[in-house]
Amino acid sequence: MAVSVYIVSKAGGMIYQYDHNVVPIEYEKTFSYPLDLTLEYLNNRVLVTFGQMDNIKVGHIVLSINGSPIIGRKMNDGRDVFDVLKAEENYPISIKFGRPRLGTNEKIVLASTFHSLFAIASQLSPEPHCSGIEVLEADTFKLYCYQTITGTKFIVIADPKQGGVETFLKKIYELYSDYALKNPFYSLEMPIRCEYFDTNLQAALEQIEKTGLTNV
Amino acid sequence: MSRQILKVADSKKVSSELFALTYGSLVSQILKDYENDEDVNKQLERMGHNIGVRIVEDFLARTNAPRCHDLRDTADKLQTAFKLYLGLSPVVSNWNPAADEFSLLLDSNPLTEFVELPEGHHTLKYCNILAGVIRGALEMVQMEVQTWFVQDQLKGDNTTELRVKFVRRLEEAVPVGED
Repeated sequence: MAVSVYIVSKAGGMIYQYDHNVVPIEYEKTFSYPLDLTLEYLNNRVLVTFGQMDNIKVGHIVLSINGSPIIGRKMNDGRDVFDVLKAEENYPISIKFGRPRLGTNEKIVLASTFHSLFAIASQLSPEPHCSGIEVLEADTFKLYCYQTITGTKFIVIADPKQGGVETFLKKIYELYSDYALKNPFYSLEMPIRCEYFDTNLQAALEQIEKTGLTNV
Repeated sequence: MSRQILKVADSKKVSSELFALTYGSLVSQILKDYENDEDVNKQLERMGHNIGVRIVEDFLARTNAPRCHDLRDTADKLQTAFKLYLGLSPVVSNWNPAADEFSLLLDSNPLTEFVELPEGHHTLKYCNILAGVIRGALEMVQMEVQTWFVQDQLKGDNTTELRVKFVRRLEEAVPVGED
């Protein structure tokens, strides 16, 4: 089961991120001329905007053509993707599509966006003393957030059916205070690069996956 | 849940003697490095502050303590923390009328178990690290305090008295969702 963990510092900076068991969605298919998909170049990616088929969904991006990866809209050899796809002599052609993966920069942006959303939620509340967003639910995932008294946020994104996430958040807090903060070479508010923290977090994730519970 | 936590905490327990001796060698090393008692006090306080800003997370993660809304709560929490980390229960007393100042009385102090202050060090605050820890920890939960020793058993007083004075709440640092 895919689980993602984010830790956001008091200032809204992402100091830790880990994706657990996230399987990349990729699908390769051979096409003959003409290409029956609408592709567009958006945000540095070649995106499927219309013409969903089989496993290729609107929103997927072109990862590689004939096995050679795409960077931006250029092939490895410098040719433009759209020129290659327009030319009939290049067909049949094998194109690999996939769901775009979040880059580190995007994750940082999302984490700080959530930080602001959290603040907005607590200000919008009709009742006083609102805690901010604790659970955010969507059809494919649930986002759980736990903010400590010191202002650090622990965020877990998990399957909507996954149980025991609230206790798991507390468990991450313990791991953070044990393995990140007690490391004398870790400075506060900086990205966490501690191997003990990684391994212990992974062990805890495996446990919650197996049993749906954390042995806190 | 709490029983489990205690079990984990137990497994990490070390002898207080090891701790006392380690701290002793730290202080004597700093004394060699600085020679001046005032500088040593300042250094110990700074180190304590650095420990405090980290140890507070450990305390919160273990105890699930909620935020304090008055200084009496805070004093209780400090008592719990002393029990957790040093295995002793200080007495909270000497509240001032405005209730923004109190003392922690430490009858037995594991840090000073084998210590006799040598001549010529009457301004050395041997346990000043504790003052720093309290200040650092409370700073992380958005409380600015002053901490200082008013009595010290090492200097012939009956008890060791650590005074804590609440200065202000760090409003700008309070995380959102709390007011």
